[in-house]
Amino acid sequence: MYLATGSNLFGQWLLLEPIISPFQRVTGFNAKEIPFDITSVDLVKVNWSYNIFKTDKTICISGAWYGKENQYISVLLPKECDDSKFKNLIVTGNDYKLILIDGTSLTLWVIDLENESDVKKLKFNETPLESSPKKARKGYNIKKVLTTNDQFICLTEDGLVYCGFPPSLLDTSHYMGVVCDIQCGYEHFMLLTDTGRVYTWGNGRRLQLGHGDLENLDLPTEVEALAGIKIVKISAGGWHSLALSEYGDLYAWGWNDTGQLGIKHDVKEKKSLQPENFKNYALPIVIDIYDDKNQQVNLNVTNMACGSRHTALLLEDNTVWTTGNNKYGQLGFPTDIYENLYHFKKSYQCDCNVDLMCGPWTTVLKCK
Amino acid sequence: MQTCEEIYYKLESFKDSVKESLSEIEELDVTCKTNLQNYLNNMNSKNPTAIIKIQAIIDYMYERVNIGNWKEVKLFLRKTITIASYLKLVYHVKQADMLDDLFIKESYKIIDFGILFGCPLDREPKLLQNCASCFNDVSQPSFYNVCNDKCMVDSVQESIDFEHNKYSTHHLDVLDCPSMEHFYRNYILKEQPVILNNCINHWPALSKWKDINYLKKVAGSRTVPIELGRVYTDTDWTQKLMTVDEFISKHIYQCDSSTGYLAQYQLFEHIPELKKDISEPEYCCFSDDEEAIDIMAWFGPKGTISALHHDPKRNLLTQVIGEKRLFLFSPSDSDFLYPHEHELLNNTAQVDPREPDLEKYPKYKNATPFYCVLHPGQMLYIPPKWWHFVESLSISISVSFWWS
Repeated sequence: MYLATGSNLFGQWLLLEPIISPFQRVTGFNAKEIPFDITSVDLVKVNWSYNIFKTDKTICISGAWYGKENQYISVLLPKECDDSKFKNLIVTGNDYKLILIDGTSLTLWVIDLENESDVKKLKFNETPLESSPKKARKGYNIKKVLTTNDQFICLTEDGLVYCGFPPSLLDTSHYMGVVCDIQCGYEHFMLLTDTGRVYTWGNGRRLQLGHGDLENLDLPTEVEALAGIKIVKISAGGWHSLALSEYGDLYAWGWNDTGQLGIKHDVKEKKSLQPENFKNYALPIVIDIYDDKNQQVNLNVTNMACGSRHTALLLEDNTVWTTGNNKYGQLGFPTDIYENLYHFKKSYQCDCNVDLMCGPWTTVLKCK
Repeated sequence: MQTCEEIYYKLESFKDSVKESLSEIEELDVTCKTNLQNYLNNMNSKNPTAIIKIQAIIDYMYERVNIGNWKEVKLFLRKTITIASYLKLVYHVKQADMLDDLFIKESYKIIDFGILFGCPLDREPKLLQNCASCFNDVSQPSFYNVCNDKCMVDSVQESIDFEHNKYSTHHLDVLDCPSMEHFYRNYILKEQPVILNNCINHWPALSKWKDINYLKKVAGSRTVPIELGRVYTDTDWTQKLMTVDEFISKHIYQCDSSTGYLAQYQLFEHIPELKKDISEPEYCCFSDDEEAIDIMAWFGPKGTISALHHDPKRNLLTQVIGEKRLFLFSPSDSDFLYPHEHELLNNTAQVDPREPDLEKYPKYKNATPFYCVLHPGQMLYIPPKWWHFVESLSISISVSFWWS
């Protein structure tokens, strides 16, 4: 079962209101004809105008599709992606295309969203792999794929990272540990290794790389300020970044124009809560969470997710806390009261264990 | 007095050329494209969610133009902001039933966001500026606050000779409305700075802009970018969008907060009415290419500072209201001025010529500073790559003309 708050502008949550807030159950009750059961499909990705779901047999879309809104359809797959391949098929998409990846043969199918019959087949670019000692491998088993309109990155089970389009292997041989997670902002990337190191690269003009400056970096570079701290989870928003340490400390850096870093200034510095005082941060800063009575909340963060310009946290007591842009209800608060929230505030109490996910302007909870 | 309906019909007259402009945003994703198309085709029908969705497209495009460097942003994204802002304005006007202040201010906000983040459409380059003038007739008398006692003239009298001795600076040449040939041969070709007197005596701005009410009347409700912070090299320097009225009340007549400066802004593209008060100096016609002249407005209180820097283009800095003082150095002095090393700041020097720290910057003693105070009606020619430090000595309005 899913709960969502935020943009429903194109009917992607099968609800009537263009903006959902607070969190609402997604039942599909209001939609007329749905070829799939919304309560049993797996949500793969939340895009700006449509959602991608997967079942064991098909890929489903809700929202805007080929210029029409309130669409709920099963995607017509290319002939080659038959039943035997479908199991290993990974799907992602952006505003322009839907991308299907066969994780075993490193083949991509790109479906153009302006012209359904335009399907391109591509292969991963493996050239650098030939010189790599890791080349004797049975299967690739891609476990995670991320894409924006401009970026594409994916990760295999054994820690290989492919970047770009068509994807090329990134040389990660000299990193401390094996890559176990990837994250992708609008113009920056993050890597996490199994030894707890964080690497970032891409555009740094909004301080999203965390190296203390606004330089751009072509190659992944370790976030030195976090060296010595074992990081267990990372998350990237449009222009901001988060890292969670093994002891439950949350670090954030990057753009803070709508309060997406969630730093509560007035407690320590007693500064007025004017947005002008909310600076961007070029280095990771520890984020403390305070409740409405200004008491520090000492619960561990168990999960985190970022949208374009907002951030959501899940704490160990199954509460969801949000900060940043709320113009489309993505924080789960009324839009007429908060256009932005500049520090974390409790938004929802779950009554079951949940998974946390964000779209650009959405926060989603999946009951496990 | 106009009615909402009359304004609506005026705005609607641009519909066909905006429709044609859709071909300029072919690269846009299909969802946004079909939405804009539908809203353009059904402008007369009532659609309660139209404004929310058009706003969402604007907000989404705002996020997309924030990706990458501003100068490299794809034009179709900015053109989409222009078209969507036009549509939002049309639907905003259609929904209204009363022409009150709030309605007009909101209309200008919609237009100004489109001008600031959008860009001109090939088929209708002045679309939003023309939309703005549809409101001029209704807006002027009704809602600007009269403040009769506020006049901009509080000229500074000071002894320039004293300043020259203090800083051991050199004088600049001063010419009285020189011939084009003389100016070209001796200053443009030789790349030498010079002060020009009596060249803009005919500008209506010299008298009109003395009256703050005039500026408030023409531009008060318009949103412009304001630089906040003393110098752009400071860490807490930032930019903020605000209306000219807000800027005048918060930063021109009341400087207790941070320094606010309407700096280096193409105000005359934004508000064409103000361009009637100035004219491009003939001296700018010595151009290497056909590129247009960039006309920038600089409006701020006493004490605004532009740190010592140089620009790639030729510059005629024209003083309209108040006084500014400048230090200038030839490009050959660069090593003595200690330019910042970072790529974003390497056209800016670290030395403050008012109080040069000779222990930190010992080579500065070899530099040859030129110094001048610009008064209303004077123009200063700054050749390309010449270092200049600028400080306002009073409330000041300047106009600079950049050309290559």
